[in-house]
Amino acid sequence: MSIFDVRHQPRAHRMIQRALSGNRVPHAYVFHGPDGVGKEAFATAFAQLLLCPNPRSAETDLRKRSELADWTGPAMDACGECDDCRAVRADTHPDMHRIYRQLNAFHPDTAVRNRKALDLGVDVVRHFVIDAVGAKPARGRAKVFIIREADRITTAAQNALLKTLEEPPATTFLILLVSSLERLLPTTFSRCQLVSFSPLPQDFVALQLRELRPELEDNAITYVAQLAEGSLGLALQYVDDGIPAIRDRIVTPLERLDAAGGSTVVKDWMESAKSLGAACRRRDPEISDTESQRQGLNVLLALASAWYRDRLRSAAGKAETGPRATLCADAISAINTAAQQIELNANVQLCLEALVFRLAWQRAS
Amino acid sequence: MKLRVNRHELAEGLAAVSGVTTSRTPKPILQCVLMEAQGDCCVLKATDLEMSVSFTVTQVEVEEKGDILVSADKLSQIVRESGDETLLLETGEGLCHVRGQDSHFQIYQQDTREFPPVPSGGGPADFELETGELRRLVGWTAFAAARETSRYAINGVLWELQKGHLSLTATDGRRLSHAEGKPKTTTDRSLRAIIPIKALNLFMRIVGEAEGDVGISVTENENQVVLRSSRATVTSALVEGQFPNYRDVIPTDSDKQADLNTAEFLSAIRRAALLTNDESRSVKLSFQGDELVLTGRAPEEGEAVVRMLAAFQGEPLDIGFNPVFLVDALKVVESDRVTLELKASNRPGILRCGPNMLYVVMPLNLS
Amino acid sequence: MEREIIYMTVTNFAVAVERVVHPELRGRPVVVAHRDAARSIVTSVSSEARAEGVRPGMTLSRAIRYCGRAVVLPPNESLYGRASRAIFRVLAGFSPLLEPSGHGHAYLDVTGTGRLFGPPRDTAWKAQKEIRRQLRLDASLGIASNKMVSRIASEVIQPAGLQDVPHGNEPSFLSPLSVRLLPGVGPRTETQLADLNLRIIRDVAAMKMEHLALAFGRLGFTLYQHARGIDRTPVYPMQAVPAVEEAKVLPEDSNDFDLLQRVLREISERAARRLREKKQRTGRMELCVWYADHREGRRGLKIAPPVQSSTILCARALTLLDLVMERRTRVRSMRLRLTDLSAGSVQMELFADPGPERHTKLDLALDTLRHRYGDKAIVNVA
Repeated sequence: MSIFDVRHQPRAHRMIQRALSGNRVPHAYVFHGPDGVGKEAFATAFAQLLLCPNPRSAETDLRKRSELADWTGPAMDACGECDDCRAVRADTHPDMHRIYRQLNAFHPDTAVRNRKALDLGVDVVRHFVIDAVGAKPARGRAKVFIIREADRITTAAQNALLKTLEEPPATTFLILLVSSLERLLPTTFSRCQLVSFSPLPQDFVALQLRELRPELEDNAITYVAQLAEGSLGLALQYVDDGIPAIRDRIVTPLERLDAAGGSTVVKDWMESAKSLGAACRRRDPEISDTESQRQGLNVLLALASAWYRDRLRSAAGKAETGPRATLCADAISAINTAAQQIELNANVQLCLEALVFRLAWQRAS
Repeated sequence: MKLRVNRHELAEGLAAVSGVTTSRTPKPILQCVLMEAQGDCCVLKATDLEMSVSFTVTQVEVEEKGDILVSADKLSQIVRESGDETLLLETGEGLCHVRGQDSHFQIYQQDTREFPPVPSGGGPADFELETGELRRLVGWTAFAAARETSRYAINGVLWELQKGHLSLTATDGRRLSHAEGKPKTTTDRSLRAIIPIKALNLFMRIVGEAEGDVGISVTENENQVVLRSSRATVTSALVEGQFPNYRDVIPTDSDKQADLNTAEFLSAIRRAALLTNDESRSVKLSFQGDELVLTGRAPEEGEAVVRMLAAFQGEPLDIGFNPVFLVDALKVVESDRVTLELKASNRPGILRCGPNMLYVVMPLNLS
Repeated sequence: MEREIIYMTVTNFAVAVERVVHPELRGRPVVVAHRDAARSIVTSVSSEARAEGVRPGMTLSRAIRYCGRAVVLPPNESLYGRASRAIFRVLAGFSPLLEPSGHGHAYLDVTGTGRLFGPPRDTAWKAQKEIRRQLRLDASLGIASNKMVSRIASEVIQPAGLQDVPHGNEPSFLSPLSVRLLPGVGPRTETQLADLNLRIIRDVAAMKMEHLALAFGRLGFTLYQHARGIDRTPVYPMQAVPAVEEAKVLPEDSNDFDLLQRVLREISERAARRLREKKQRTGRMELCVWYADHREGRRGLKIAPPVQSSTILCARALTLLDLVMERRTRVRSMRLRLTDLSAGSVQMELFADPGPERHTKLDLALDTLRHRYGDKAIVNVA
């Protein structure tokens, strides 16, 4: 793939091209931004560019794309045809190391193998990153480490990694992918070049969905694209978890919510959250029960919130703004509060009950 | 692809390449062996990305050229358990068929295009050595290299080639062994490369005793080493980093010297070491006149005293060494006599055997 | 087989030892406490001072209010340690099964030594005489078939004497004594027992086990056994683990981190010096901190390769202090214990920096200075 296939990240493109043209590519990068907007795709394409023995100047039509429109410098791209490019595509390039927490299953030490891969621990980092840095590139040009979910690197592992981040051998590049910088130690990200990634435009997400999931109906595509808030990854995940189908079950009761029917709604929602959680669990078997439930609830609350946002928008369109608009806004803020409480490990059942009754009460008043 | 192959030859080849296929890897394709049928032989290739092996199997009748990529483990088991003299290997419809007289196995094939590129290591070697010479040089140095320390550069053996002169050095920070040798043929190129122990061990295992010369070359970009015998090629990434400046730590001011019988010395150390333990792994060597007294002491266990004759020149001296370090070196000494050069009890000693091999070992601090 | 246990105790040990060194203090009220600290705690009290109401654990100012003429002596831990070890050496001559229980107190299991020293009462008498002859200290010894009864026996005859409780007489010996003497009965339990009208051991022995268990839980069961003179704990001989230990009671309870660091530096310096005297290195250290409320905190760490350098030991001990200090309560005392001692042969490095060797030279020079001019001759102020 071409690095320019990663769209709508002008800042990242410009930063990389500037570094390449000045021939001063930093050895450690942190790519940060929401999940599912192309960080790993971009990192892989960047790795391919670093590993390709004959990179070339990008074709003009690629350059004309909006994100590089005002960029006047050279725009480099991997050739896409050599052995190295092919190996990167097949994910078997000996000098491209993809690091993720489940790698512990391949660690030589049994104790490490039997551990749950909740974090990217110090043993995995030592064996798969630090020790691997000690060997020269197998094919010559460079060695690239792409560390997925780097915000899950434990503190001990980050400390172990410091020296490598600070002065890696001349041909070694490390790219840390994180969704938020908060969990990285300042000592870690201060040694790295930060590249921020932004959410994708909604119509781009819709366009991609149409291409990748052709079986989807138009209104489902629009709905999911809107719900995913600029994350293609999240949108695909919603589609695969069957959100368009589940949606009605969750939001229909909101139409005629009253205090009497509240408890049935809560029960219903708990059920839906459980099945959504199970879907999260299938994707990542390592996560705990509570975590999967939490993730399921997050999706559910996002759906409810989207429904109210929809209302708000249509209410605003009708010009007779007033009680209905404020009602929707209040509902959205109530949902946000509930989501925050659940994030802070509040009792899920109580939270949902409080939320549903608040929504019902708002409607009634 | 279609070929008939002698089962013993194939088993030997598979055993050689299985040194790099591991059962634990996130990339299943690395558990496979690639077979390339060409002309009158078949080349087996395997890689763990850091290191690759290719091995040429002879006694093959190739009926149709081509490649197969199959699980190395499964194919080895089939070949090992079979009782046939020859086996027929054939590809068809995504399967690899292995036929014997009374058996027919079908193994799923992997896409050969996804197999990581294995460096060919073509081109002339930088220098060539006799197998026996290689064995001597590696044998004298490899044991002294560090295992899994965070100072990568010493996790390998430093090879230096300059003006037709070859030397190998290895150290773990407490002892250092150094051997010099003469290549049979060489180019003008000056080389300095740290070869990982894993690659050297693998190559030594594959190279048969009987094989003639081996060729060694380092790639243009100085990242890879290619070790090649007539049948096998091992390529490996070199070790990254700066090898410590070892010439500075080889003492030149030793003023005491003992001439020792190798076998006697080895036996004396081993016996004195019987009464040492993990806590105090130290054997004291006391040189005086023509006698060497070795003392080992384990707190709460006992004490061992062993005496032997030593032609010693210089002031009497007591010095403590980790017996393991001395035994490691004496085990690989081929000559009857060794010399031990010393300076003081807190200065390194040098064990020499012949003009081309020396071993520097740091003493224990006997406080 | 019936056991023969002797409990040896020197009443008011610290005071008794001070009086051996300063005979002029005999007959005068003496308390041991840091003199120059405002909130200092009394650690040992002579019987004369006790008669005027002074008790160990009191603040010094209060003690002086009770007994103004008392002589106040600063604690001299190393002196007490030496005296105590000398007593244990005497006792160890009678049986190897010796379990020290703090300075100046020990259990001795003399089961089956009759052929050598005669019946246990004679053994005890010989030991008492020997301690008096060698150390001029008066010990009281209790002889019984278990540790608990022998301890109580020694307590009823203080300040000095012998008390033999023949086999089978344990319950009758205990029955008229106050419940306070039973192990595990502190002021709180004593009040609880008094509430139930149980004041002497006989009262407790008369109770059914279920009833005691109902009132005191797990402690009820132990009380039931102890009141009947039953105690099966064996005498644990002295630990064979070689270790270097240095401790210090702070002049006054404090949570001033700078002060604690200073004290710890002093302790680790002393410990390191003892290591060097023994020509040994340590592979493990443990720091134990006792707080003013009698709680304790301890943390240990491994040291590899083993060291004997003051600089390194100090640095490691200070990191331990950071870990140990989890509370803001004032600290009363600290102890540093070095174990995993090895007879100092250490592998030297080929490419090493000369740091450790420099440390060694500095340490040895300082040791010489301190040996000649005393501990305070040169101190680390960093």
